[in-house]
Amino acid sequence: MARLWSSGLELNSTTSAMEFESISAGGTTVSSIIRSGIYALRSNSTGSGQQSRFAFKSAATADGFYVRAYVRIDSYANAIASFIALWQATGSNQKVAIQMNSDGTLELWNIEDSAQIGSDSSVLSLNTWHLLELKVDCTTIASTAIEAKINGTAFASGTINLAAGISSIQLGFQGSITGDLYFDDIAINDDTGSFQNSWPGEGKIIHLKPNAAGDNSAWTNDYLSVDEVTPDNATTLVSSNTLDQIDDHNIEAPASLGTSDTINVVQVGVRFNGVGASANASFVLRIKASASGTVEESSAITPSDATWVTNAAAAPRNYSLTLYDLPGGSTTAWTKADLEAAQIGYRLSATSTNAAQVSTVWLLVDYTPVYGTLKAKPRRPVINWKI
Amino acid sequence: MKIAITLVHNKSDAENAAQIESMFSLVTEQTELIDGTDDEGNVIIGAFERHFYTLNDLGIPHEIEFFHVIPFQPENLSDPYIAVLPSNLSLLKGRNVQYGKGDEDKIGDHPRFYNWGLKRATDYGAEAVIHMEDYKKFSVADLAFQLNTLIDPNDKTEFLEDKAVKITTLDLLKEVGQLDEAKSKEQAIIDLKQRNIEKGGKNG
Repeated sequence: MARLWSSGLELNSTTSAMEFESISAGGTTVSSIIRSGIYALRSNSTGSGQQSRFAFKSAATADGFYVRAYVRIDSYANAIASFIALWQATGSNQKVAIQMNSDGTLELWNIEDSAQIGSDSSVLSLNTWHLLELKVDCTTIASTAIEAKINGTAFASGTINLAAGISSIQLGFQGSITGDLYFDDIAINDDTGSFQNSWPGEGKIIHLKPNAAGDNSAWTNDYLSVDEVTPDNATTLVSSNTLDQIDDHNIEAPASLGTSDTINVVQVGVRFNGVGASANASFVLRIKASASGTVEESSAITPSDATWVTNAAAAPRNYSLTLYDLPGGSTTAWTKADLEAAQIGYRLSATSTNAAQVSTVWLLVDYTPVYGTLKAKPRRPVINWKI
Repeated sequence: MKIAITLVHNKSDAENAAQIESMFSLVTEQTELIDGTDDEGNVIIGAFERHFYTLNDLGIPHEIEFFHVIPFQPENLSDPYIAVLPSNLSLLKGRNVQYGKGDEDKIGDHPRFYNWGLKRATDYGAEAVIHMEDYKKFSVADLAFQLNTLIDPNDKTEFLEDKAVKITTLDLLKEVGQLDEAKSKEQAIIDLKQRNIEKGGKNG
């Protein structure tokens, strides 16, 4: 799958199954302290921990996984505690974690065997965004390779013997802990495919929302019903139960991107449900890089029932439509100009007794800024005044 | 083993529909129930459903995902930029690409179709990608024989072909690359096989 899941908390919600599977008390989305986009997750533990959980696999899986999270620490944990952890199942059997000490150093742990791997990191400074990455390659679970990095440099690694694979991530302090963290620009890769199959590396995440009708507008209502943040579920929606009806929407320009920035991956996200408790119509997600251009469509999504959910009818609620280059199998990467002309949407792919409904659709963009280099200035001649 | 099958719908409407019908008759849609846990860590039996296809009687543990290619349709006089999908496309669930404006040359048997299937399928986890050449000649028994060659750790075969299919592995994509689209598909396949040999791989 390569990129399994991305989140910049840009849906601005702590509701279960909206962006994370669950976000416990103390978890809030904030717009005042962010790394990119508009929102970030504040994880403020005031004595009972704070956990935000997401299942990126439906069951414990023996495979190679790479996690990225940007973390800002406003106060250190008052005692050693996990704050980036991979679990066998959501909330059950923690396997590997990065833990924080009260002095602001980090440790890599084999939680299953209660053993630290490698040495402590240097102290992470407060009130600064740090790129933290964790690798767990449990393809052969008895010899699982794990490694942790800070800002691209490894501080601990080793091989451990696990009893099972992993399926979910937990962010935030585990246990009776006091400490204050912020998370942003989260990514999870596995080691399959030919893109994003290793460390995610540096990246910023933004969402681009519909801002005008595109090539098609056949479902009920229009783009104004699917452009909101936070998704408002039944308050504004589009609906269809007519085969091959399509909505394509233009999307807002990515103002924060530079023209030369590298676009790592784009993913079409959707908040949806079915009108009925069962027997709902199916739809596919669509993306094109320009009006009337080549379209790529996801596999079919069939709402299980009338519950509003994000991206998939059941966990794992990973994105269904992910592209690393332009639609159609071009080797050409996305550019800012492509995003400015792109359209996203959905097509009713199979009718049923009850209609499918979409509350919100968005394009997630993970990009890496290309920083300009200062021109070398001519050195001033050295003048010796003491002639 | 995760396998992808790329179907190019570049035939008549009837033949495109027949290709889907034929492949549909060879697969079974599987539903796997998976236990989950609630926020307190309690096990929920059958909390999740996962759907995938398997090829009947393949005899190798596997999952199948389909990738549909809809070439540009200059013959669509009403609007060539609106793809006409095979009438029974939804029968065989999968991902698809519909070539439009800017890709007017993506017709017939363009090598891009092969590359799209190979790239997208491996993006979504496929270890081997089957490009269907002639569904009428396709045999599950022949495919089982071919896949066993790929599975054998002592066999360096990364590309296989017969009259029905061409099979490419993820390793070949990583080590050798994709088809050279400046060439015809036939010439690009010859070139790919040559590059595979140069990298130490085998063709079958």
